[in-house]
Amino acid sequence: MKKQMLKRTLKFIFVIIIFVCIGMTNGKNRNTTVFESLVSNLITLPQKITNNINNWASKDKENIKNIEKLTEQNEKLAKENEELQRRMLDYEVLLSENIILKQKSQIEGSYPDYDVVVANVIYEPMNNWEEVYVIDKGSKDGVKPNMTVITTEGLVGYIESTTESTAKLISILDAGNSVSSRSTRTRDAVICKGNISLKDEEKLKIAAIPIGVEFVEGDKIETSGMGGVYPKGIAIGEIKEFIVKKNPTENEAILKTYVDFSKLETVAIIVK
Amino acid sequence: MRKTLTGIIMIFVIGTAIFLQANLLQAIPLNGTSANIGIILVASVGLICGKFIGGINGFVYGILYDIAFGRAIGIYTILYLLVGYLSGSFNKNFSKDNKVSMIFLISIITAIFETSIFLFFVLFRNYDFELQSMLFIIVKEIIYNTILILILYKFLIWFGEMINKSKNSYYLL
Repeated sequence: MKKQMLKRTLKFIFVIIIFVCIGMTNGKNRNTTVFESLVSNLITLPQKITNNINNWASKDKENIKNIEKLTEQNEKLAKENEELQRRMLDYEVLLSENIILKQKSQIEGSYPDYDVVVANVIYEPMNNWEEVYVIDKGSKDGVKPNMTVITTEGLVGYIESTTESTAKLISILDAGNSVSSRSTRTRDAVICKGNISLKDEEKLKIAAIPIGVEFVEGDKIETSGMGGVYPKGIAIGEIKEFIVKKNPTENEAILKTYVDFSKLETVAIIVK
Repeated sequence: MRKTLTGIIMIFVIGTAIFLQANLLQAIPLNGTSANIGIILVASVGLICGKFIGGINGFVYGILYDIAFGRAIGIYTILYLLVGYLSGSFNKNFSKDNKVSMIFLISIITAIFETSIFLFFVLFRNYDFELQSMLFIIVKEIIYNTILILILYKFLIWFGEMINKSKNSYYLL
């Protein structure tokens, strides 16, 4: 009987303690005790571990999913890149074609009195002495030997020989080439000649200048039409230097050509 | 069979040399002067293989050059043939391990070749005779050729040896 009473009392005390605990711990601004933290940590530790493992696994899953996505994206981008590069190449081809066509129409517009055949330079001079260019138009296009070759800037040279589809062009820079020419200012007739020491600078020499003829820097020189190879009035270049010698018959002038031979790409052959 | 193959390789090498001369070497001139790969090829083959093969090599290179770029067929044919033949006459004294002798000989041949061409142009093409300019161009070309020989030396030796191996008579093809 006493035992039963004691048990009931203990149960009552236990309930009261719990209620007291509830009353004491039920609050928003309560600091947890060290004991509570320890127990809480101990309880949550396995959960944390499991959670971490779970998180890591799910992240990996995401990563795997991402890799698949990225690979897909990468493939897509590579295809797009390829397509863009192809378009870029097409664009560049169109651009260069456009430049060539522009040059052609410019040449045709610059010389309305002449019938011209427009050609591209396919080979530049092959050795250190001659200035022989090969162009991509030949006898089947109406190109014949001794025809004059020009660009929008001025005189290039003449055709020496042709095949069916190509022609050899001797430029005015060739040391064996002479051009009968005239000063546009004074109208004095002179002969411009290529020179091996001046050809790299794209210059010509005017030797045997008649006594009394003087040039000044900037004087423009054009073809005189004499000799029958070059038509009259095609620009050649302008005087850069007039060299006065003791003997006036030995006076010389240096002429810079208008045509930039280092960038010679498109030329026109006067066929009529 | 081997001779035919050698002949095909020889024509291919000559064609490549002309292509390089027209496209690459002209695009990278040394102070306005370009190297002459034709002289290097023809002279070195002559030097390694002798007069006959050197002559043939020079003839093929020269005629192709004349047809494609020359102003008259025959000038370069004869000159390159002579280059091959002349260099071939030094064949017996040439050691393939001696770069200097090859450079020295090709330099002399370059000087003779270019002087002959220039004199021909002076005589027949109305060029002014300018000794100083001519010498200046030739010296620059010799320097450029020397650099090219140093680069191509192993290939030239291989090419010459290959022709030599297939040659057991005087007739290549």
